[in-house]
Amino acid sequence: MVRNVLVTALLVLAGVGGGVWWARSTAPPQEIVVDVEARRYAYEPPVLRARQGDVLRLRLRSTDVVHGFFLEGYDLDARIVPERPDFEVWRPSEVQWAEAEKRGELPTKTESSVEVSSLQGIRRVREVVLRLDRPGRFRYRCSHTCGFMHPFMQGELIVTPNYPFHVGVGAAIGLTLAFLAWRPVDPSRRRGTSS
Amino acid sequence: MSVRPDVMTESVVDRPAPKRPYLKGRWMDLGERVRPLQGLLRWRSFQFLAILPNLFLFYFFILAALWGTPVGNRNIMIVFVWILWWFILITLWVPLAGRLWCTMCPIPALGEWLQRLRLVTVRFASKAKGFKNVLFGLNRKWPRALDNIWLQNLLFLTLATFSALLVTRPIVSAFVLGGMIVLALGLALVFRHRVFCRYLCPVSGFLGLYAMTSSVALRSRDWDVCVRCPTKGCMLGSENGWGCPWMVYMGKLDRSNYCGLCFECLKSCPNDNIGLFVRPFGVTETRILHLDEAYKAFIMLVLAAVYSVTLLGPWGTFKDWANVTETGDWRGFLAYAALVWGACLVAFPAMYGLLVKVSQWASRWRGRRVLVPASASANGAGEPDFRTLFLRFSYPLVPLGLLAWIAFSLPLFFVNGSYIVSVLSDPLGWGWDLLGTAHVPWKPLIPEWVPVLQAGVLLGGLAVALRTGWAIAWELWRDPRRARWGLAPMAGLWLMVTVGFLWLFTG
Amino acid sequence: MRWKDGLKEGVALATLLLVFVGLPWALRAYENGQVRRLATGRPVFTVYANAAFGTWTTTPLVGWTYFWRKPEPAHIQVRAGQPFVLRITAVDVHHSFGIPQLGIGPYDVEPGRFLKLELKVDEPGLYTFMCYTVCGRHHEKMMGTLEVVGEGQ
Ligand code: SF4
Ligand code: SF4
Ligand code: SF4
Ligand SMILES: [Cu+2]
Ligand SMILES: [Cu+2]
Repeated sequence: MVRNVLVTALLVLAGVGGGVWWARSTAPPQEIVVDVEARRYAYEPPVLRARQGDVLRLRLRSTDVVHGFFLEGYDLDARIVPERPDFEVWRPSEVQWAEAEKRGELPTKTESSVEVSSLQGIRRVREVVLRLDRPGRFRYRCSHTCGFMHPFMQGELIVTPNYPFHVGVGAAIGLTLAFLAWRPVDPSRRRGTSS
Repeated sequence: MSVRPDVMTESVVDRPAPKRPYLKGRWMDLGERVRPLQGLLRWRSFQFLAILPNLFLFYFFILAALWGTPVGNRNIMIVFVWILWWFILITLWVPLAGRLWCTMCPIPALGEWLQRLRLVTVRFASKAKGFKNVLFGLNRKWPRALDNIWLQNLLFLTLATFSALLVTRPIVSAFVLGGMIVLALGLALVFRHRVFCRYLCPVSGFLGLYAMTSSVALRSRDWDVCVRCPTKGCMLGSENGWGCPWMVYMGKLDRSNYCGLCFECLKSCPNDNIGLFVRPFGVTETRILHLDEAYKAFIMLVLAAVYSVTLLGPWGTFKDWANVTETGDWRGFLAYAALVWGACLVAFPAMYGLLVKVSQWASRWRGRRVLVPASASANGAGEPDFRTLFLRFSYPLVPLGLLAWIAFSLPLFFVNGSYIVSVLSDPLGWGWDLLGTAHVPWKPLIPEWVPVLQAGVLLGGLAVALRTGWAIAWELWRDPRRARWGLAPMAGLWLMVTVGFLWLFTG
Repeated sequence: MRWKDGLKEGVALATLLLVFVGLPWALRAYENGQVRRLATGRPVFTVYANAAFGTWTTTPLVGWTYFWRKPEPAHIQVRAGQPFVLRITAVDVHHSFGIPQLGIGPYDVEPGRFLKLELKVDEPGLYTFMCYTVCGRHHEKMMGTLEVVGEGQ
């Protein structure tokens, strides 16, 4: 019993270590410019890949109806009106769109670019800039009801090192190997073995 | 792993130990520990009172779907059934209490009440042969050929094919729910007992399968008492309770699949021989007996992956295929349907079967010079055939699948939870504001932690699968070397499935 | 059946019937009360914005009618100088409502939410309300009419 627990702990730890090693990267940071096109009910590109430290410049468009762009983890929300080169952005932790709209606090002029970290209130921009300092997988979801499948409209931003995935895979491999190394300890079942 | 004696035997020192062959590890008779609970479950009005609020709610949902806004995320039908109810069902009720939903489910209630012509009390005819309760209707017997869950499997797959419509259009949900109620009612008038629940209900199939893992199970406290019991009230009925509406005989029951937890047998058993037991999750009831049940396990696992791709994935094409009434892309929909059915009924089972074959070869090869002791080979242990392996090794897919479903449901709830708050205040999308929360904005709850939670849940599922798989391999081969070699291909499959889900949810 | 059993059955049945009749009645009654409170004697018009057909319509588009009813473009008639109320909702995507000739709007119309406008038009005439947010293929033709009838007409 003790042996089995020990083996399991060791192998899972090894798997976790392997996962961390696998996940880390040393490439220099870069700047990424992406045009994201929203349509019912997906974003194009559906997956954005980047590395921690990269700078991401996002331009959001819609090809059909009003969509949103709520990015987890980076405190960014946007409203994308179709047939316009600009879009409104705000930080959902500070601003509530519906209330701001009711109070008539919508922006009137368009700026070329804004950084999320220095964003205040609602701004209309042509480009929003994100410094990708948090690693992991973050989904961006539509935040303005756009039809039946609206609750499922989403894309994902993967900022490596994405530990939950790599460590998870490492741990899963460790766990599986551990059980293959398990030894039976149950005396009531030892009948009939030749070992 | 050591088998501990049943902890309850300590309290009955002066009687011979009760016969409980289903016991494995630690089980606790909850009804004996918590007396008021046994009393509550034996109270005749209990089930009616449990169903009543749910009947009220589901009736409300159907009205809301008919009269309320067609916008899914503003209609209580969608938000409460497919976000709240589903989440609670899969993450709490099933793992903790198995079929407890069936206790309070309003869907078959109308049919059952009509069949019984009673809402709370019992009809009893002491002179009747066989069943002691008189039921209204034609009282036909269900055909033997259909005494399995294949129909459930097919119905569930059919519904699953249209799930993108089902979970986004209130009216579709209402039709499916209403259709189930009407079908259950009709069948109750033709056949005896709850044949809809037992053989057709699409929810029933996976509730039954996953109830095998649940931490709560209803069992006869002593099989010897049942052998000596002359009335068999649990099955045939008595003046205190109806005969089991799920056609289950408690005296030999050691699996939870088809006991609907209606608690009639607690009332109808004259010997107070039914107990509600608490047991560890997922590891004690590991016997899948029939191919239909194994296929249910495959279907559920594959569907968890399919939904993770179509509903929670970023790829628009799959959404367009599944969302066919809006896009009109019937060709894409056909491809999607063929993919889903093919994966559930052909591809996955074939791959699984192949690995079972590999497992058989591997264990045989490893044990080629080991003599199987006569005692073991005589009762079939030591050299299991393909069919046995196929069925026994499908069980670990049950905890694995359940936890994959839980992982799938986490973002559904955490992301769309705020709809619950606003819809509570405006259930029909009529512009009401009952609680002052109608305008709470949509905002995901701890979204960046969801992948971490999902990874943890998936790893937990893998651990339970390996743990039960290891025990099953040991039971099958009774020889560590062959068991290990036999287990390896199956463990590889579980690892592959886990990594696949990890990739979908976190990668 | 013993009388006690009969009593239990009776109470249970009464509860059931109460639920089945009471719930729809309560929903309707509450809604009517809400509308009456909003109206305070003025006429109330409910307008549904539908992107699939590209219409503003007064045909009720609710769960069970949405999928088979063809919505007719809204034609609202009021008397000049008479206050009235518009309740505007969307059944699919975002729209925005405005009547350019009267300088009303544009106001956002969100799916499943109600925009309430209290209006009064003194000048008789035919006014067109339109959608200010691109809402699909039929956005361009998304129009409804408000007919304000003068005294003598
Ligand atoms: S089997 Fe289905 S219909 Fe029957 S009680 Fe369970 S969930 Fe309800
Ligand atoms: S009535 Fe009770 S004692 Fe008799 S067979 Fe059923 S469970 Fe056993
Ligand atoms: S065995 Fe039958 S009577 Fe007893 S709780 Fe289960 S379904 Fe009900
Ligand atoms: Cu959208
Ligand atoms: Cu419009």
